Parts: sequence; structure tokens; C-alpha cells
Amino acid sequence: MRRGRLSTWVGAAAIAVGWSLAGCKGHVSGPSELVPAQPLHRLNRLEYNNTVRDLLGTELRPADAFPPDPELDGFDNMAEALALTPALLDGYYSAARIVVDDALDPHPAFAVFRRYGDRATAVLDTEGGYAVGDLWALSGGVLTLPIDAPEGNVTVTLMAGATQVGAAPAPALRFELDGVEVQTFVVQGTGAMIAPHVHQLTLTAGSHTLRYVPTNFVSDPVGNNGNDVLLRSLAIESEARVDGPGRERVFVCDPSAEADGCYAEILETFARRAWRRPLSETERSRLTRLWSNIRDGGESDDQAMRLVMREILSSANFIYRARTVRDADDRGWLDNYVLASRLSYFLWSSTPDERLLAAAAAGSLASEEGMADAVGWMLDDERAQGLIDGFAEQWLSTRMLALASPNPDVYPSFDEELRQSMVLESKAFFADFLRERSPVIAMLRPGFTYLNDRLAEHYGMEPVGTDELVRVSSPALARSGILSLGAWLTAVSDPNRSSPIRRGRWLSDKILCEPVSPPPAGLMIPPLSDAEGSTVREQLEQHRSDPFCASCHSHLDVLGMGFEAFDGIGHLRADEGLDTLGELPDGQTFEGANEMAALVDKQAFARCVSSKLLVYALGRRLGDEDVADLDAIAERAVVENLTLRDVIVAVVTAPAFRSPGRMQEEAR
Amino acid sequence: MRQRRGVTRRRFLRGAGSALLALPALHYLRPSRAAAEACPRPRLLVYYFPNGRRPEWWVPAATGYGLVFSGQSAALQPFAARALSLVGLDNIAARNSPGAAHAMGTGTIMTGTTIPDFNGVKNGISLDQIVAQNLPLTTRFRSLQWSAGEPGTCDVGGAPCAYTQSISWAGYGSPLIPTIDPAIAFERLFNSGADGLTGAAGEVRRRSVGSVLDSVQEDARELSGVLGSDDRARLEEYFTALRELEHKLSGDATCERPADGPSSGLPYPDRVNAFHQLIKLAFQCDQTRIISFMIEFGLSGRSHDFIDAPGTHHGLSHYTNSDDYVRLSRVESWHSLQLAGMLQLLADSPGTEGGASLLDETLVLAISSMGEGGSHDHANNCPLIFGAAGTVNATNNQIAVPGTPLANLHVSLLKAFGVSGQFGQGGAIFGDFGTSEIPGVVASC
Repeated sequence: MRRGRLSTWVGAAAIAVGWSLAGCKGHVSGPSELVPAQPLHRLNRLEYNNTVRDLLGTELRPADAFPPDPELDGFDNMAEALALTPALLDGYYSAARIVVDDALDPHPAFAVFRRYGDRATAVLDTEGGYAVGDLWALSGGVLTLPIDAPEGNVTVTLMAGATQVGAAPAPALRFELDGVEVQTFVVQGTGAMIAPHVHQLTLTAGSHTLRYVPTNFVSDPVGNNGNDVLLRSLAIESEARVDGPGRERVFVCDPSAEADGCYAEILETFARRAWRRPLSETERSRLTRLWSNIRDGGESDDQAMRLVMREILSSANFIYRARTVRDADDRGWLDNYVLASRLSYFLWSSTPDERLLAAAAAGSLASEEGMADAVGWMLDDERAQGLIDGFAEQWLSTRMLALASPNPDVYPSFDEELRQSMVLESKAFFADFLRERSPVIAMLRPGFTYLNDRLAEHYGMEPVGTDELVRVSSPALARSGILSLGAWLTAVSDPNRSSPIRRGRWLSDKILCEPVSPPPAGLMIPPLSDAEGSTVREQLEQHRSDPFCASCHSHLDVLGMGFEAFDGIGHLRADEGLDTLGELPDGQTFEGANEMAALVDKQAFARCVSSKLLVYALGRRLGDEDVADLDAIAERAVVENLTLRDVIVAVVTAPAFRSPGRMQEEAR
Repeated sequence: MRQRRGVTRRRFLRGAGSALLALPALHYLRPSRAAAEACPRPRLLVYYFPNGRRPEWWVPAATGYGLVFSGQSAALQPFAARALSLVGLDNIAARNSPGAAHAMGTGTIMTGTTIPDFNGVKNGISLDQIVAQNLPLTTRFRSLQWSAGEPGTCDVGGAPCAYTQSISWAGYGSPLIPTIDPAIAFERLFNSGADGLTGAAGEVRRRSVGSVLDSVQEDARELSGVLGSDDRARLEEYFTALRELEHKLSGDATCERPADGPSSGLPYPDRVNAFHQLIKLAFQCDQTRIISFMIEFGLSGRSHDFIDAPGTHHGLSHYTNSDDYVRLSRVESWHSLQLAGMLQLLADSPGTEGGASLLDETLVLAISSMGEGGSHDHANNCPLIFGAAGTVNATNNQIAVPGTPLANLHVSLLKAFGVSGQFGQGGAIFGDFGTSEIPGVVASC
């Protein structure tokens, strides 16, 4: 049991008998305790990466290598699904050491890193060449990198491998600095085992050009002779070092003056940030004792500190966001620190910062005004990108687009640039609503859109004169709104053609929130085809002839048919005779995104957006007790023209978010 | 991946004789069983393929000359003499589960448990985990789960992704999602708990790490005291994982750490190969006895451009034209080639427990999410078993038992691993439908 300082964050005893709360059902007063039904909430990969970034300033993203987080109801932050496996705890433990060292070890004062698995970088730095997986085949082209460096010594490391076929010589490169040869060398390694090629240079301050010139490139397919250089990366690092990015925020005092006291302060400060609440006296002394034990065992002061930081980042207090049996106050509001964490993982996918913790300490999150105020400045913070990366990416299926593989024979115009532009389009669309004052229901037909030249060309719209995404605003836009975003239209298509079924399912899940049950067992589904014999509608109707299938597909298929004017990569088909008659669940018919946008029940849409936000914010499925809250938000969204920010405020002040929510009784 | 030949503790002990019996790490050694048991107990490798396998390419013909593999599986022909082909097994659990054929096929293939609905994650324990949990822990890791795949789209109807992303389940609702980066898997195998330090500094660090873990455990115990009962149950996962981590970090690596591990960011075919090497290494160095490997996740949409088979694998499995049919044939051929590569690695490595090779000491179960993928045929799953000399009748045999529950194979395997007990539901020994063993699978010994 925690004592002492703990009382500042657990608030008054909240082990309520006769708890009365909206949304708290079935409670019978008696000598029992209410405990939260909300499961422990483990940090997912995005949250882990953002959290260590904000705690330590590191740019590493160690969680990218963790096992994937299971997804439930379209989101990967659902507490129930976020189990912990031995491999995952191992990942957390190892990552803790890596991020602490990265934050505190000196970094090169000057560093350039170019990764040639990234096609855009490769095209920029080389003439010619082509991509091979995540390598770049130089193919006789020259690799040129201009840099602007400070004076001093640098290490240049080219990660590359050689290929060699037939009688061609092993490929060689001439490395030049400002046009002067440094060395001509034979490329080591292979495509499967990339090797480092290291050079030390002394640079004067100012602009320099590094060049790698192939000296014996051979390409003779007829004679079965050839060689090539496969590039992975080029890194330049200065010998001079600067403090690690986390040094200043970790070292809140100078240990050279009074080591023991200062390290205790450093560790308490770090643990408070990492565990998102003040420490109990027991916890504080445990960490301090751990530090002195480890140091007395033979580690240096600094290393002992790093090991305790590893403890803090491997602790259940860090890995989980926990609701305890006593963290609500007598009005049913959650403890301020629990609320601060909920807010920050909702809006930032990251840990609360000092300002939010200060608000929690001052108790100002315990009111609707306090919550609304926090939402305001949190969404203005750049960390609100976390809501776009966590929520919008999943709701608008841009993550799914990353994995789509349109058939290049059918869609020769689809390339990585287009895919990336579509991702940015959807994210910019959502970000616009976070920033601007457009009502949330305007997402259906906002009268603006985000385009670059690539997208404009693909969508058959006027070019905008830039590769950057820009906001184009006009009530007459042929294409604008959530229903015509390229990302989802492409992501839920089949590789060879659009899929009315999958689009119907997407619309009913993401826009109308009327998800259908999964198909029955033992199902044989022949894929749709445009082959002669029957139209797509006929094929779909055939597949609905079974009354069992029809119960769902009568909704899905006809809904998706309305979007048949968009092909499998969201391009408008020119075919005049195309059957694009769609039907909403209520029987209204439409053709195309714009007509559907006009017909969709605004309140149902607002309710759907709100429920997605609420599910994501809570990290749990909604229950019957949440229905009334949702209905109220949806009604206000339409009547009062609520903006996305308003809806977010409504979500975080709803009892489901700021109160214990579902409770269950437990005799203890 | 370049490897220095590892020295296993077992080999080390054989050379050094009984004087070393006082080694502190001895508790990792298996109890001497030569006297106690007659039957060898093999290691287990489950090798999983997504999107089904077309039986005409995958299932060998049983002829008077033994098993004859088709062109698409020709790579497996050299292993015919160490193969047992099973034909016509019915994954009833998958058929009885709601839709989402790939989630249900992949999810139930090793659990035999019917998934009632998609509200939450509901699946039973898998065969490999029953074996892992019922045999004495004699290695650093009870089991390992790896995949060369990348998380992709999950199945229809809101099927939780865990069903397509894990074949190993530690218990009800506890998927063991595989590690997908071979560099991470390598670190996990060879990270010795001393942060790579050696000598006196390594000893100091090992003690420090021990203190860190003790303290972490205290944190969790205190947290547990203020949680509700559901959450306390949930926190058990943490305690379990922590015990494994302690176990792992406190032991010496039984093998010399190879100089080079796989790098992060390898292309897919290289990743498959890197995991093959790690599987061999993990067995050879006695790091674990049980591994499940998914070459890709269920419903995989990988485009196999590198073998001229573009288009999603899942899409190809539902081919509608001859081009896609040919591409699918390339993908399945390549898969067979990978399996053969894995078998060759094991066959080329000397055994460490008296067998001629690692393959003789390992039961390799090669199994797909379903039979024919185009029709989602759960009723004709045709696994292949290789190796495990003397334990199973993988000696150029075929057992065709159409309609037999797939879970009966798992019942047979439980016996092969010497695990007795009832693990199924509703009176079944395994899963929902595993009630008896398939005659002829387990060797008499």
C-alpha cells in the first residue's frame, strides 16, 4: 500500500460505497469495493517511440522493431488487445538501455546520413541507377553529395556491396573530395552482406563536395558480363562531439558538487516524468537505494544512474498506464495525473509534459474548463501530430495504403510518389480540421482540398504549380471531402480493380459506424472480375442471392457500387456506361462521393466521428452506458456546428473519459 | 550471415568430462535421460505458410518407390526419406468459426479451438505451447516465435489481427506475436545480460542487472496491490515475462556469440534466410527446444517481385487467369525451396544429443493456414512432417485419412513429445475436436 506523498496524487479515498455515477451500472451499495473494468493499458509502438522522444530527446524509434501491436476495432491502442509477451518485455528492456545511452552519450557535432533505400534520396544524390529492394544499384552513375561542414576531422562511411557477373572486374570507385581523388578502391561486400568503406578526411569550414565515381563499370548482357555497386547509405560524422540530446533535461543538477543528493534528485525527476506522477516515499527510496547499491557494487556514479534509468523504463509503472482502485475523487472524476496521461496519450500519443503535469498537480484538470483549456493548448502543440499519426492514419486507412499493391500492369501510373501524396492528402485533410474552425460535419463536403501537382494530375484537376501539398479552396471543387480521399479509395481496392464490397464495408464502418458481421464460415468467394459474361452488379447480386449473405451484402455491395466511378487507385473512370448507382442503408440512392456526401445523415456522421474518437481516446470498446454520451455529442455537433476541436473537448469531458467508467464490484 | 562455429555447452561438457559438473549454470542442462527414457524427445519447429497450399503441388504422391513430390515441391524430394505426409485433415475449428477464413485458418491451425466471435481475442493454447509448458525448462528460452513477414492487413469482419499474426498461443487470449526483425532476434539470443562486457566488469554488470530486475519486480508487486482483479490477472503476463527475462539474463550464453549477426532492414528473402540460420543456431546452441516460424503472416499480401511473381500472394491464391496461376505456382515453389533450405541446414548440422544431425533431433511440422487457398478449404489440410528419427514415422510415409480432425494430429504430437494429459475442451484431449491419435504417426519405441 502506498503512503506519504502518494496522497497528493491518489486524492481522497475513493473506495466508494454507494458510488453514484452516470454510466456506472448495476452497482449495489454494500461492503464491497468498486474496481475499474478498464484493463491495464500497455504503451503501443507509436506511444513508446513518442514517449522516449519526449522524455529523452532521442530520435531513435526502437519500438519499430517490437512485435506488432494487435489491432481491435480498427485501432492498435486497445487496452484489451495489448498483451505483454516475453519477447516484448525483452524489447522494452533492451530499448531502455539504447535510448538512455543515446540520450546521454556525446553525439557528433556534425553528421549527415543518407539512406539510399529511400528512392527520393537516391535519385537526388546519383545520376542514373535503380532500386533493388532497399539498396540502390549505381549502374555506372556518379554519387555526389554536397555538404556544408564545420572545420575539423570527419569519418565518411559508405555502406555498399558489389555484384559481379562473368568476366567483368570487381567494381571499383574513385572517392573524391572537391574534385581531388582521395582513393580508388575495390568495393567490398555483396548485396546480401553490405560492407563499410571508411575514409577519414580533414575539412575546412564551408561547402565541400564528396563524389564516388565508378571507374570500371561493365554492362554487357549479351556477353553475360557485368558489375555494379549496391548502395545502402552514406554517413559523415565529425570527430568533434556535443552533449547527447537528453543530457540537459536529465541532469537537473550538477553531480560534481554533491553526488549522492544530486543523483537522487535526477532519478526522482526522471521517474516522475516517466511514470507520469509523483513518486511515493517507498518508490523514491527504492530507486535511491538501488543507485547506491549498484554503485557500491563497482559501477561508476554515471553508469549506476543509467542502470536505474533502465529500471524506470522497464518498470510496470512505465510500460502500463494503470487505473488503480483508488484513483477517482468523490465526485467521480479520475485522479488528475491519470487524466493527464489519458489526455496526452489521446492527443499526442505520448507522455504528459511538465506543463500538463503541473496542471495535474494544481488540480486544474478536475473541471470541464480545465480539460477544455488543456485540449486547446495541447492541440496547438506540435506533438498533436501524434493524433494524426495514431488516430487519423488508422481511421482514414493511410497505414493500410502503405501495404496496398495495385497491379502495375493494370495501373501503370501508380508509383511511390502518388502513394505518398495520397497519404499526405489524407493527413493534411484531417490536420486542417484540427487547426481551422470548420465544423466537423463539413468533412463530408468542406469546399477545400489538398493537392500537389501529382495528385491534381491523377484526379484530373487544375495543376497547383508545386510538388508540395497546398490547400485549394473553392465551393465549386469537383472533388473534396473525406469520401473522395485517394488513400482509402485505393487501400480498400483489390490489386486489379476497385472493390464495391470492400468500399461498402469501409463506408459502413468508418463513415456510418454500422459495421456488419463477419462472413460465415466455410465461405467461397470468387473475386470480382470485369470479364465478359456478367456485369459487376450481376456478380454481386448473384452473391447476394443467398439470404444469409444478403443480410449484410445487401447493405455493403450497393453502398460501394456508388463509388465505382473511382477505379482501384482513386482515379475517375471515363467510361460513360459505367454502373455507379449506389444505395444508402435507408434506401436513398446516389452516384459518386458528392451525392453521397449530400445524402448522409449529418448527425449519424457526427456520431460516427465522435465514436471513433471516443474508442481511440478510451482504448476500449464502447458499452451501452456510453450511448447517451455519444448521442449528446452528435446532436450538439450538428445543432451547434461543432468543430473537431469542440468534439474532442466533448469527448474528454464525457463521463466515459474523465470518470472511472464501467466499474465492477469486487469483494476484497 | 557469417558465423563462427559455436561451441555448445553440451559439446563442451563432453570434452571436459564430469569434473565440470559443479558449474553454476548446470540447471540449464536437461536431466540425464538416457537411462530414464527409451524414446528420444525431439525439438519442435513449426514452419507456417500463409494463404493455403494447393494440394496438387504440395502433397507428394505415394508410390511403390516412396513419396514423389511434384515440380512445385521438387526441392523437398531429397527429404522424402525423412518425410511423413498427412492428407485430408479437417480443421473443424476453423470451419466452425465465424468467417474471415485466413484469420480462422491461421489462428486455429495450432490451437484447434473454435473462435466463437470477434469480440475480444478468444483462442486457446497452441500445441507448441502445451509442449513448452509441460516439459522441464532446460534451455534459456521456453520457446521462440519468429516471422519474416510484415504486419499487413488483417482479416474481414473486424477479426482481431492476432489471429492472422500468431500461430502460437500461450494460453486463452494470449497470442505470442512473432519477432520480425532477425537483428533483434539475434540480440535476444546472444545478449548475455552483461551488456556485452566481459571479465570482472561483466561480473559487476551482471550483478547490477540482477538488482535492476529485483527492483522492477518490487515495482510490479506494489502496483499489483492497488489494481482490480482483472488488472492483477493481466499483470501476471508481466511477471511471467519478467521471470523469462531474468532467466535469460542470469545465464551465460551457452554458445559463443557469432561475430556477425544479421543486420536490420534486410530484404524479405534475406530475412527468411537469416531466420533459418537463427533457427539452426538456436537449436544448435541449446537456446530453446521449440520454435514457431511464420514465413509470412496469414492473409499475406506480399508481392514476390524477386521471383517474377508480382501481385499480392493472397490475391494470387484466388487467381482467375493463367498469368496469376503461374505466379502462384512460382510463389509456392519458392516456399518449398525455402523449407528445403531450412531442412538442409538442419540436416547438415551434427546433432548435439546423439542424433546424426539436428534434423534427426528435430520434428519439423510444415503446415499452412488451410488446404487449397482459392476456396479457403479448411477441410483438406495436408501437413508434412520431417525429421525426428525414431519419434515419428517420418520415413517416406503417407497417411491419407480424409475427414480426420486436424486436432487428432496434435493429439499424436503430444504423445510424440511425451506430454500426457487432457488439454482440450468438452472432453477433447486437444482443442475442440482432438479426441484420439492418428494411427501410424508416432513411432513405437
